[in-house]
Amino acid sequence: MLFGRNGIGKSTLLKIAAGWTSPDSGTVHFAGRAYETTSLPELAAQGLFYLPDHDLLSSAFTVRRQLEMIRCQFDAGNVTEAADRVGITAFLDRRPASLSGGERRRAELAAVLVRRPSCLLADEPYRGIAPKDVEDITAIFTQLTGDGMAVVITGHEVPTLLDAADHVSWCTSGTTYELGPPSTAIQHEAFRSEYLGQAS
Amino acid sequence: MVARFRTTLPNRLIVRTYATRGALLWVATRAILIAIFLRGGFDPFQLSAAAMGGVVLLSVVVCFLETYRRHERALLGNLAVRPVTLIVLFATPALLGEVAIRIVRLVIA
Repeated sequence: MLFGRNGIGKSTLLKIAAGWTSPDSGTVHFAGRAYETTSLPELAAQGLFYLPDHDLLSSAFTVRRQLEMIRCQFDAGNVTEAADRVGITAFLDRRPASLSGGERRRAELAAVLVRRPSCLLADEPYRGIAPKDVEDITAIFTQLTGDGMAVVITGHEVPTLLDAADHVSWCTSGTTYELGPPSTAIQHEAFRSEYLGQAS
Repeated sequence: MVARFRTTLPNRLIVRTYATRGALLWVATRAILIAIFLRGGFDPFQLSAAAMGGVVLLSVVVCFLETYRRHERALLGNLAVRPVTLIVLFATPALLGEVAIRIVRLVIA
């Protein structure tokens, strides 16, 4: 779980990790390899999946077509099963633009389930969705980690995310701190005072 | 160790989807150019090789703009489709169309 105030660089960090943006310096390490320069297509071919902080699926094609593209490209999971697991079976033949925010997030998770990547980077996957969807989507993320997938999530839904997290990182003042498991993270004085605030 | 580049080629569904977009947007681009050429008093079907290349290039640019407009960069990235592959998918139908126009023009002449 990657926490940090707005504008502190969480999304930029994920973009760099996903090969979406080039870093000023440093290397990206993924699947046992170090990349001086890389790109999302290159990392995706190695097993990475990136959910950006905007809609992933195109408004030009139906959800089913896009999931099928992923399935065919990677000889991956079953589209119908994935849709069923996230509860979007009824929306498969609709275009994402006609879906609600929560339904689009579920469709994106169906894409993850079809792809079955080894690592998922999800940038603010809870944006603009109802509490019930937050609960359901968190349950799916938890299942994915249980299946052996590495899942990195950014967001501000502190109680939900801390409950689901195995590990907490905190971006602040140009530095990323590894705070360890949530129980240790919430004891971190600066994290409590500068990010969690009085509610902690 | 720094990794070497390794990626997959697009599958038939991706090829069909994006080549179709390339064909449709080439038709649209060509239709607009024909109208402009006719208004300017030029023969829109008698283009030099360089002009044909320009039409193909313009068509590819229009396709990329559409891809950006639809926010498809992340989807294509996750599909491991590189920009150079997209250029080929968009350019091929446009190039074939331009060649077909030239052949029809020659046959009619």
